[in-house]
Amino acid sequence: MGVREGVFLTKLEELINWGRKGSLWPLAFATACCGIEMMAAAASRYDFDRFGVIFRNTPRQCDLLIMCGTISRKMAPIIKRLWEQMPDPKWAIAIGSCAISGNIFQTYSTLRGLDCIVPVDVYVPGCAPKPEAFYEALILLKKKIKRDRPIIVGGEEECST
Amino acid sequence: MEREKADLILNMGPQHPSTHGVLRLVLELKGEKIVNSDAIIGYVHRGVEKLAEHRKYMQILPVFDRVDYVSANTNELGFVLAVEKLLGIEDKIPRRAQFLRVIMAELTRISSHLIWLGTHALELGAMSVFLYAFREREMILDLFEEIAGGRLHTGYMRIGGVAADATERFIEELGKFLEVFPEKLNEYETLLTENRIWLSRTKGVGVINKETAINWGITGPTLRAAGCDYDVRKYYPYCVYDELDFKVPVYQNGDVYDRYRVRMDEMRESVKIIKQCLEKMPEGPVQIEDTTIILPPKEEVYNTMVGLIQHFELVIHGITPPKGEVYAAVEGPRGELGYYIVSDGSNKPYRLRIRPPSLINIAILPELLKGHYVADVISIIGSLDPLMGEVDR
Amino acid sequence: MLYVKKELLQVLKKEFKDRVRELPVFRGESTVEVDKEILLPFMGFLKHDERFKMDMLVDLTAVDYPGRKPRFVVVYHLRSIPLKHNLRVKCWAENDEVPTVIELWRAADWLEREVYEMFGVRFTGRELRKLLLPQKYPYYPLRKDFPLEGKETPCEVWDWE
Repeated sequence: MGVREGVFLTKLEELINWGRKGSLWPLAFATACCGIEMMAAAASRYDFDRFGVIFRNTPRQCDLLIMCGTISRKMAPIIKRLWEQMPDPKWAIAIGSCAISGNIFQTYSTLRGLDCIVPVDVYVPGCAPKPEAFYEALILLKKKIKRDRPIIVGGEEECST
Repeated sequence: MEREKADLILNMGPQHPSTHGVLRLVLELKGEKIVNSDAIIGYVHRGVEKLAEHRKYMQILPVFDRVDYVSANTNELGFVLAVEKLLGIEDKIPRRAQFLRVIMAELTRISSHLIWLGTHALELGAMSVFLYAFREREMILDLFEEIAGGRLHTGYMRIGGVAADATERFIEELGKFLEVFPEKLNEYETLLTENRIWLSRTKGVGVINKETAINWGITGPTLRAAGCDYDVRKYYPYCVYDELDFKVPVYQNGDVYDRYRVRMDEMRESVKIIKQCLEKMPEGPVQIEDTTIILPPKEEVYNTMVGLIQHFELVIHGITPPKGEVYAAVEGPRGELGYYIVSDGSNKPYRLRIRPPSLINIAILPELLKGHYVADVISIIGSLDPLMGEVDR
Repeated sequence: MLYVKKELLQVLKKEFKDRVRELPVFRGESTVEVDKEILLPFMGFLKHDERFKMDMLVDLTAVDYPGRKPRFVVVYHLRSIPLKHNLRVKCWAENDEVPTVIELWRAADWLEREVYEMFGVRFTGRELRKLLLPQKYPYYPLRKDFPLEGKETPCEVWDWE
């Protein structure tokens, strides 16, 4: 990208990617512990807003699922439905050991990780990860989005996940 | 009883920003009034009680951090007290450790109430309080990190003491925090206590009277807002609470507003308690000197044969309390948090039951919501302060 | 924690004869065992009698002893707020059935539902639904013969109800 005398030269793909990575709107949804850290990340000290991250309350306005906390089997179909309700393009981040593998709760009622039901882009280990780790996840995700090819020859847009 | 006919059935949750996690309510509405409702829970049921039966006593501790994830220290404290009662070593815990436990428990109470205040105010439309409350909460989390190494799940309590002694920096920072925090509380109160919108959203809403509250088994701030002074710290003092001077705030109306007032006053009392602890805390060890209960210090494990053997013995065999059953309770931020342990003499509990205050406090919800407007639902749920991790376990 | 005094336990014995048995005191905690047939009058007596005034049901749970018959014991923790004393009451569930105490303490509502779903103990005289797990879940997870990792369950059990 370059700006010269008010003229802005870029590829359309890069412009789209730039727009997408600059305004990730996650779903304000959490099941357990890491949700509290997500709240902390959104609150005063860590201030997620400066990344262009604004929490939305309905999946229909979101393009990012930050899955915080243990997923029980009873909850799994609902998370799947929430994911399906989100418009494309969409991404998912699994925060914390519970969302990655089920953590210590290897019991009859927990799911062994978010990737059983939803394709995950970034995994953040920790129990619970600090808000700084949330930043790391976002930066990694932005790098991934930057590499995306939103337009393929023939004009058909492909799902970026 | 005749069921009033509903016009509309509204499903609220489990994904709803103001149900404090994954509570699901099915509301039957007539216009905007609720004629009937049902609460469906279990969306973060993790089988903690079953899990505890399969783990040694020491290994269970980190699980309870994650049961009530905003008040990890009180959870641990309750479990540790129950196991100590089972072992019969309550009197042998060093005094410094007991004071440290009280300090951590009260800090946890403040941080939990701050989350409650922030989210409750956010749900009722006061965004700025959320940002202020989390600003002060970060100070507490820094203190946790300093003394225990973890922000949310501290893992600080041990059966037979606490994990580590307070560092000088911790005491210093704690002093600073206690200095500034009461002023900040006043700040929140100027925003809310006499705010007309806040008053009309909370006054006279969700009234629970004293008899109903006791009959439903409700404890904690919700019970104290209804005019009953029950507080485990006063009724059945544990640790060193009987030596400390503090008041239990009690209000009479039992509505959402009074629950708010109780929690605000409780935070002030917690500050008072911590100040007294800092004054009275003696020097000395923070762990019991019995290597069949607590791991020996790391220097001994790495440098001496005896220490190494003791370490392995304890890790492999675990703590083996005598046969019997005990119930021990602490006053958590949400109410009486009890642990009922049945031991069969082995190194794992035969049955471990958590008495979750949130579960018992929100059981009244379907009954309480009847006759209220939809908008009040949020204010009522918020005021009961349920934590779904603890409700579902 | 303060428990009911020895003299008061004698009162119970006088009132209900040998249908109430005193169990050995462990760490200062008194427990009585009571026959299923007189559970309701016994609990009513504890709640309304001036000397006991047990107005709060603190907890209700069960313990599984697989080798024994009857297999489950239901444990009630009672407390009197005005008199500050506690008592633990145990009642063996013959035929896996126990009368409900919901008329005396409404706190029993959800707690009984939980015991029913976790152990399969039925509380007679009330409507029972599962509390935490889906209604179609076929097992009782807290029974000792149920494995921690759970048993294979068909997918539709976990479906959104």
